[in-house]
Amino acid sequence: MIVGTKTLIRAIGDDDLPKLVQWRNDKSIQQNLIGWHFPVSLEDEKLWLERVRGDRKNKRFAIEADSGEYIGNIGLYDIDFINRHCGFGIFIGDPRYRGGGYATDATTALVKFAIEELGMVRLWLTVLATNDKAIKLYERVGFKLEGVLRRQNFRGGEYVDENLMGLLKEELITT
Amino acid sequence: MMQSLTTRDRDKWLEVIKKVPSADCYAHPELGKMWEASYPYSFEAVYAEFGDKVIFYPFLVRPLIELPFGKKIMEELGPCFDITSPEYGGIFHNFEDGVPYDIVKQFNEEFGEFCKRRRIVTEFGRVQVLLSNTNLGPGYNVRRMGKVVWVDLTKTPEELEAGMTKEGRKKMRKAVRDGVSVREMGPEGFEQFPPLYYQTMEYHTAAERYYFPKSFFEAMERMDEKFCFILGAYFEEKLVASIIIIQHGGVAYSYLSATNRDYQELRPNNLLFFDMLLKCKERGCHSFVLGGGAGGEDGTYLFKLNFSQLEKDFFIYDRLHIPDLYLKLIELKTEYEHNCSHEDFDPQSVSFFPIYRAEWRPGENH
Ligand SMILES: CC(C)(COP(=O)(O)OP(=O)(O)OC[C@H]1O[C@@H](n2cnc3c(N)ncnc32)[C@H](O)[C@@H]1OP(=O)(O)O)[C@@H](O)C(=O)NCCC(=O)NCCS
Repeated sequence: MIVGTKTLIRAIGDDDLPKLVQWRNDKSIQQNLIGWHFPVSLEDEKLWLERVRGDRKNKRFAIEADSGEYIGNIGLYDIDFINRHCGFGIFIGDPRYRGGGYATDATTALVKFAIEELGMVRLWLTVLATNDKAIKLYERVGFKLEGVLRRQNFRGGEYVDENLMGLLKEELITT
Repeated sequence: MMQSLTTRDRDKWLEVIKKVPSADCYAHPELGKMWEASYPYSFEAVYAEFGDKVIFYPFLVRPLIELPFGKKIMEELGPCFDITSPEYGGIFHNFEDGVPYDIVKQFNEEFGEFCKRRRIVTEFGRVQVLLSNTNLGPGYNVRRMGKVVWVDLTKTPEELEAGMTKEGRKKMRKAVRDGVSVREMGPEGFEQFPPLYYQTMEYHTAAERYYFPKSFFEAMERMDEKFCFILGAYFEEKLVASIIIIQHGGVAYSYLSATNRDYQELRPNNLLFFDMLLKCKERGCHSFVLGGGAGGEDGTYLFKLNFSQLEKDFFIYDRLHIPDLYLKLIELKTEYEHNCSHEDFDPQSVSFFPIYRAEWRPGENH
């Protein structure tokens, strides 16, 4: 368990799956995420969870708010212990918890964990160049724009750029 | 200018650490006896002096030929080494407000050169927990690895007892009522300890690296009694639990402990640990480090919290000195594991540092 000031990062449990299915099928969330998204069923999610539990390189967690509610997912991807870097991702599924600093808190806590306890020296992520909320969040914790993958995504009938952002261990902003 | 020492330079070593009050048993050449007698390791140190200020770094050098694929390493790469701290370690110094950054940096650079010259590929260590000196300079990765429990021995015996949990005190008093008593053992203690210890390890299915050979304990018997001693808890003149303590510079550590399974219901450990604290206080120690759990905040950790609620963050550090050799060693490790039919061995997913020393347990979810 990783503890932030207003969130807690824990393993995803079977009880979390119904909410997760709802979010996975929520267009307002999925349109901001990279990649293609097809509708999923509870059964699909169960299989997915089985798979990710045994995965050494990709770690996905649930974000729990101080109210005790499960509000979203957060994770580390492609963890590479030789070169000591990994990818990062987050979404807040429950709209009532957006804009309240929960994402910032959870991101700071998990990035800190990756650096201090897993020994990562760099974290990276990609985000749609149109996703202002997410970019602002990442900049707030210290991620910097490293490059632009031009027209990498096809969204709503047009091509959208994808930003590559990175954070070196000394760049994390914890306050 | 950085100087280096081995245990053969004992007098000089003692002269240098005399200037550093915080230098405890993990900085003391006596500790080398334990390791050098039973392993092909050498206990060494480097230091630099700036007037009356000293920066001192002790460490164990291990030859990689001891690895399961050590012969292959010799054939393909020649002799290679790595560094670890005996248990705790890191930098000891006597600068009042921490070592100034330019000195850390210079020391760090010279040590990097030293390691390259000696073909020391990687360095790993656990930071002495009371000093918590994580200011190691460039190239080091410092990670937090949980917490340890320590005891403030400047308190009176009454305060120490009052500082125990109710549960712990109850068990201790019960052991006394049942007829358990604790006393310091002589040299014979180091002969009686190993069978008890191996039994304990077997019960806990401990990892191989905790199976110290007999010669390890024989070496302790030859060590200075001021530095290393052993206590036994007895019931009807039978040894039911025992603990080895090392101590220097006012700080004591419980090094290894063992319990006779047949007498476990007597719960001798609460009494044994409490008496151990009193003995160390009598010997002039100001702090006792009980250490952490075997895997985070488990039963062992909770047991230690019975004696004191003082906790410290515990840090480990590592540094890569020769990247080319490190990558080659990972290749040899991968080849070796695949030959052992661990086909899913994937070095990128091994969080253990250095990767070539990782114990690969297939299917385990890290
Ligand atoms: C991207 C996402 C995680 C951002 O979450 P968020 O809830 O907006 O983030 P936070 O609440 O931490 O911070 C955002 C706002 O809350 C405000 N806030 C309120 N209280 C705050 C506090 N205590 N601490 C920090 N910020 C606080 C901030 O000022 C900020 O406002 P601003 O955006 O106007 O500057 C969220 O919008 C989301 O899940 N989107 C869908 C999925 C997605 O896009 N994921 C990223 C894919 S790369």
